[in-house]
Amino acid sequence: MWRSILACLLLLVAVGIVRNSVKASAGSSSLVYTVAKVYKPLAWMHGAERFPSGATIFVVDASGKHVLLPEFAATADPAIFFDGQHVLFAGKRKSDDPWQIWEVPLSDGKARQITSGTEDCIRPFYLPEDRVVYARKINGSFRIEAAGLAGRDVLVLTYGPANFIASDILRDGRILFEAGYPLGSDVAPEIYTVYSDGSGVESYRCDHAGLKGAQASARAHHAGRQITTGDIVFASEAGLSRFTSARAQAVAISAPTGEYAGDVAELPSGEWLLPWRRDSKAPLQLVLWNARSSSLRSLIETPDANVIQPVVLAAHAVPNRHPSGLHDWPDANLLCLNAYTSKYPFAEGSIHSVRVYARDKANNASLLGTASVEPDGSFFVHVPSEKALQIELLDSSGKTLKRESGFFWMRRGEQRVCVGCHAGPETAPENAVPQILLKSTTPADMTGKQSASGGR
Amino acid sequence: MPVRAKTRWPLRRSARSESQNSYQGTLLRMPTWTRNACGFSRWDSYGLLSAKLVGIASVVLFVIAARPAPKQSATAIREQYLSPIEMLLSPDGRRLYVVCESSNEVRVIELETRRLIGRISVGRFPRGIASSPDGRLLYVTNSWDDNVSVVDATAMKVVQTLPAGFEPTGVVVDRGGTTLYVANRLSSDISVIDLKSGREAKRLLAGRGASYLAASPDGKWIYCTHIYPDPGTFRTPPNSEITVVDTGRQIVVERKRLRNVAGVFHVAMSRDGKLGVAAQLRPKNLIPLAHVEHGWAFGDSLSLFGPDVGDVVQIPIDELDRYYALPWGVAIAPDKAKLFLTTAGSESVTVIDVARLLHSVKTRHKPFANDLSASAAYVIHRIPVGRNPRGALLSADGKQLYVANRLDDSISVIDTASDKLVSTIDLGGPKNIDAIRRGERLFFTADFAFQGQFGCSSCHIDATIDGLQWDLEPDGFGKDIVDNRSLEDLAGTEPFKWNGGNPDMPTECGPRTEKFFFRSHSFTEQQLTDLVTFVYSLPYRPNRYRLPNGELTPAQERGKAIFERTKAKNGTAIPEASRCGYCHSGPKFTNQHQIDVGTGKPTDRSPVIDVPQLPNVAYSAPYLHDGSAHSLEEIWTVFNPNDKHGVTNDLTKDELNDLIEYLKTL
Repeated sequence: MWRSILACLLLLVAVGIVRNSVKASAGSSSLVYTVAKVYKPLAWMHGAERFPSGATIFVVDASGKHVLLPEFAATADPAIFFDGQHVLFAGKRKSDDPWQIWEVPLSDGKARQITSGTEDCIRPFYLPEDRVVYARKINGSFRIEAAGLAGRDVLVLTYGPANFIASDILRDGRILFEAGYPLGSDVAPEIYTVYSDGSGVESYRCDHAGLKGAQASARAHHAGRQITTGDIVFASEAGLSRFTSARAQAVAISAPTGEYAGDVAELPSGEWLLPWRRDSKAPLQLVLWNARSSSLRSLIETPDANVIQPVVLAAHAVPNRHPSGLHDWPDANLLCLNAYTSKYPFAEGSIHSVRVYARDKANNASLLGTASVEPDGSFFVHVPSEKALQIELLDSSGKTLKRESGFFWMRRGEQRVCVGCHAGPETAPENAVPQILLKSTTPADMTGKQSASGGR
Repeated sequence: MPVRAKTRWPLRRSARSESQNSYQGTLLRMPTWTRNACGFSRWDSYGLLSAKLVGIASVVLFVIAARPAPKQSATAIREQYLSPIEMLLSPDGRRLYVVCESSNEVRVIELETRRLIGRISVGRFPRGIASSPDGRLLYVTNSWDDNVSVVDATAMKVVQTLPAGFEPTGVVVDRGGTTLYVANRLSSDISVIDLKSGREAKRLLAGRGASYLAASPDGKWIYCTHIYPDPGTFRTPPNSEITVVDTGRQIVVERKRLRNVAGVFHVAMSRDGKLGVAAQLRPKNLIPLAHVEHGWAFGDSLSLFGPDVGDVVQIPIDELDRYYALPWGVAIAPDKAKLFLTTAGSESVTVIDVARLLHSVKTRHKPFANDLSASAAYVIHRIPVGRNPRGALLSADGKQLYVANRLDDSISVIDTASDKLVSTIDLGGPKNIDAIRRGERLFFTADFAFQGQFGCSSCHIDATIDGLQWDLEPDGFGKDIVDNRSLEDLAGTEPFKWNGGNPDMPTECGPRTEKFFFRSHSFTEQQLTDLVTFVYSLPYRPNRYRLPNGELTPAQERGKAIFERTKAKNGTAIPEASRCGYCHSGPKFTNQHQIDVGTGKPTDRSPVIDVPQLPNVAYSAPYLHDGSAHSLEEIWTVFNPNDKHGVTNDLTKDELNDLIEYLKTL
């Protein structure tokens, strides 16, 4: 109720007053967004700078349009706290500072630094229980970390030789993030999820199987955001696409033609606020689109700069907290129910054993060990945690049937079960005791330790 | 009129008002966190001094609050809720009869005015309703009285009571109005009652937990579904069945096997008789419950049967990121265009396009019950309704769907052309929602599990058991397999969990459930208190094995003597700790201790098992901590080779039967 009242009040005094640059009304909503002369949305995939000429967060509210923090040399990546009263952002006090994560209450404008370090921290989001998630550059690559609002209790959430960047926090509590597909490549970004304790990493959908070369590079899913319906809307080769709860494949959104940068913001009216441009020569501008309309309405544009990353300044629901079930063990256990359950065809009885590899920072693979695969396709391995791991299936002659093209990781003390090898999230498990557990409840050790720990 | 009931309050904290509980909950949180007016937790970085003061005060209060409080009883006002569960329309479509499980009555609604025009008192816990072909008589099953009330629909009065089996639930009348078929949940059979004589003519063996019935349109067949799986081999997939009765010969002619299915609920037939639909759960109890995503705990689904599909076909109704928990009530539109399904845990109605569904069935050549993307091809709407929707009933013309919202005491009315909720009929239940009812709502909702996949009642069906054994993750994969335990009258049976690892119910239902079951943000302190209050309020169901006069039969007497014996048959003394009544002592027949009775398995981390309570033990098969004993007899004949679980190897088969007869009376 109070939200509606606030919205009505704002409607009376707000938007439309933002000088010449604002061409339409965002209804009753106050906004923040970023303006950048140069915007390279996928530069993070190579650990590079997305805003080589800097960036500035603007606010449009009842008092008009203004720079969020004029004293900062650069600001970008705004996110709003659940009460709608605080802005989390990546910022630089001085132009030669690294990007760091800051928070500013809208009430007093006094920014408070959350992260510190000599390398960039970017793309922050709020998590429940006063924690934040962001990407930190370490040795030239971005990894995702979570930390308390005071910057302490840092927890690394992503592992392995790749660049990772968060794009939203889902209502179910998972972190939506982006990385190359397959993990470790830097060809095309894909959308993944991970729990806020770094466990359970997986791609959001597995509709990429079989894509190679040009097909794979043409496919770029990025800047995904969850909207009210629960769908994930993202920039894609089709312009805009969505993942729905009901379907295993991305669904193209028939929006007006042009280039979209993802990062959709949903207004209370149901309209979408989108960074868009007619073609690659034009700068991105913010447009409003109603799904029932065939045209876009320009909202904010700047002739010589990109207007991007719109976020509605309003209270919103707190995502579910993930109660971490990680055990106090140094390693992890992985159970596969049936390796034959896969998007790849395997002849019945053909899978004989499984190898597990670890990949180092230079992306070199080293064999951790080999375990047998039971006739029902099940195997159970005890693996090192927080390392890039890769699975390879072998036939009885030791010939490779399939090797994972990317990698995955498991957190310290994580116990995980897979339906199969690349089964896809649409495949629920069959209810049967895996034969490997009837044989032994002790996993095959891939850690090189004499006695594996955890659940043994 | 509120009913005053005495409620035991087993929590370690004393009973207090909701606001007091909330206050305490805040204090017990980390002291440097505050809660602002919007309810968003934030770290107060600017108020260190105040934070320190709050911290010191909180520590002091924490110490005070954390002192164990003595167990005590609290007297609570128990509202008399209605709990509508099933419905029936009068032949002219003007009246809606609503079976109210908690108020032991049928409420009569005049649909034109949406007015309550009658309240018919029936027996305890009524669960099913049917009418004579002319609509003059109603038949209402009374699940706790093991009988059927015959109601004069005009006078709105009970005119006769018919006998049935244990816990009668579903009921149908044959086309001629001469025979009543009643599904008996606890005796797992179907009573065939001759309406002319008012006597039970025969009893047909059904599957375990026989509960719901539907007749074919021509009246030749009765289909029966079951809320528990049939007994099966340990650690193999559960199976259920649709029992088919030939009404001409009054015999069971077919048992349609439902593979890997446990709870099955309503069953419905299309008007052309070519499509049968049963709502069901496909549990994933045999794989480690390591996470919830990807349908890891349950597959909410339907079984289709009949000429339209050939053999039984199972189809999923869930999605990849959203689940429609506890599919319960089913209704098929008269023209077979749509199928309506209530999902009791998800508080919604799923609408399925039958033509698209049949197209999927015909074009997909492999089973697809585990394909979470399949429902996109045939589910056309999800309509939010009230809490814990159960029965679904279509008007004769199929234009309106009525849904019984069991925990809202209301009926949702859905326009089936637009698939939109058009109105809600308030049945006139209490407006005050007490702690037990709040807890009941929490128990039956799937809101708290990750992506809404399941709730407490997915395993504790109708607050009982599911007859399944689960492989929980924290114990290790494939280890410490656990049977689902009964929830009846739990006060005084602590600790919980088969190894006795959870000292009290808040521990059992709180962090453990959140972390290792729901895998998602779960109950607040207040909600947990309400939930525990509800769980502790669950009474024993009536024991059907005791004689009305309280005496024991000769067999029960002999069994009692065996239970209490101090000497083996060869005259040697049985050590005190090996006597039945040593561990199974006290009012609940448990000494609340943990002991090794030799029933541990190689996959158990420890053979030490919590002594289970015994009242109503007949209802909770299978037995032992891991459910490996199919029957009470197997506890001794298979799993007690060394007389470690009481001295029983000197007993004959007849003597074991006597012992069982006695145990059933507890």
